[in-house]
Amino acid sequence: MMHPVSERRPAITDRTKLAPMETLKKDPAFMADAAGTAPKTYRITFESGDSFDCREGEKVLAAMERARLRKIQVGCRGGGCGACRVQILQGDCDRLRMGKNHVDDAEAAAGFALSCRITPTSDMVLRNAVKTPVPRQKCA
Amino acid sequence: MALKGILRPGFIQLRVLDMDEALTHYIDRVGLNEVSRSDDGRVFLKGWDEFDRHSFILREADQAGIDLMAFKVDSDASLNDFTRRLNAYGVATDEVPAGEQPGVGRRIGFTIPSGHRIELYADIEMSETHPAIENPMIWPVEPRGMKATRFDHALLYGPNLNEVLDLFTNVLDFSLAEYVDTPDGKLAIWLTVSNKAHDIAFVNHAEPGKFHHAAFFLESWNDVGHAADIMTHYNISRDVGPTRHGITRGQTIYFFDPSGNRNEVYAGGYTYYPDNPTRRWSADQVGRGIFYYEGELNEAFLSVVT
Ligand code: FES
Ligand SMILES: [Fe+2]
Repeated sequence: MMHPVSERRPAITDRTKLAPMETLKKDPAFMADAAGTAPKTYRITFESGDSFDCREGEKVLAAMERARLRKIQVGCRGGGCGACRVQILQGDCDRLRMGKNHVDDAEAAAGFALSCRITPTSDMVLRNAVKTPVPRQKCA
Repeated sequence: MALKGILRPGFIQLRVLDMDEALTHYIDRVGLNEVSRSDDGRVFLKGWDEFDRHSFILREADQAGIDLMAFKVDSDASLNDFTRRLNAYGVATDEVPAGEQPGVGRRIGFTIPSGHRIELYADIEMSETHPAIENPMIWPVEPRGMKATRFDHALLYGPNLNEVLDLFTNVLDFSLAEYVDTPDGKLAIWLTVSNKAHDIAFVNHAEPGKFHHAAFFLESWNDVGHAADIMTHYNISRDVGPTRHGITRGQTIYFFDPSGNRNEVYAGGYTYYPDNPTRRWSADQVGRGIFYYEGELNEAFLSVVT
């Protein structure tokens, strides 16, 4: 019996074959665990004094969530919504792309960032800098 | 055929911060298929169970959010008719020429009072990998990832909800399936132009043009569970669920793409007929309306948008 199998198939991306091992290999914490070594960590401290450890390569917001702290609002975790906006008072980090509507170039130069899109390269001191107030609902 | 005029949501275009991250998410995890890329960098995608060429478009930009949402109408005559009705109502329209999107005919665009761009079009090519027509197998190629069957609906945030409602019901022939009422007026509306419980929804919000989520239809509650397994395995940012909406009764997970645009996987939902009454939710019950099992909104529902 013949089945009408389509000649045309959508391209299966090569990325499908790479995941998940290649993704994990880019994660320093995973590689450190796999090698049996302790992952390198940086200390992130809020102005208020609360602090938590952030692994090398880990997003600051993700580390805060892992530590079960709620010093910054958790939104999309992708640099889109602005909920996790902070001001960096001390320390250095690498930045992934983040929405310019939340942190424009001048603000980035002044130390503002979305904490879900930064990974520390030193210990850091942060201040919550969410643009206030979060727009409240007004009904029609 | 009783469905006339506007048939359904046709496509949506979202902005992403990093196209490569976005494609891993939408193709490998959500399970959309890539159709084509245009010279300006847009990437055109579709669900496996859609006949039309594409339904989901990504554009790399320096901020996330929505560019436009488009509805397919049944004929070019209807396109002219809606253009005339929009203009008579006082809405300015523009025309995007055929071919601006590959395989798509001319589009009529306009800005609605919530600040969003909406487009209408009648012609789009059939997909090269459309569901089979002659003695069809269930799918041409087995679905991948979360197995998204199609782009289903979107929820948008913006001001002037009453004006949006009037435009959609009186000019574009949508019906109001459900709404959330408060002592100060409507907070949210669910609009349908088809047999689905909703095709587009709006929440009243101070800032115009904001995006809450785009939803992909899944076949079953089991597939919603499978989607949750994928989100956990690949550490995808999840907002709420698996759970159910009281409003529309859909089974759901809210999650985010790597640029922070909220997605939904959605199964079920009731069948709507145009003679159904509008369902009303009072402000004190809105939690159950949005998240039926939790009975309350999470902090992110009203505040986290792109
Ligand atoms: S949580 Fe949305 S931008 Fe960081
Ligand atoms: Fe939805």
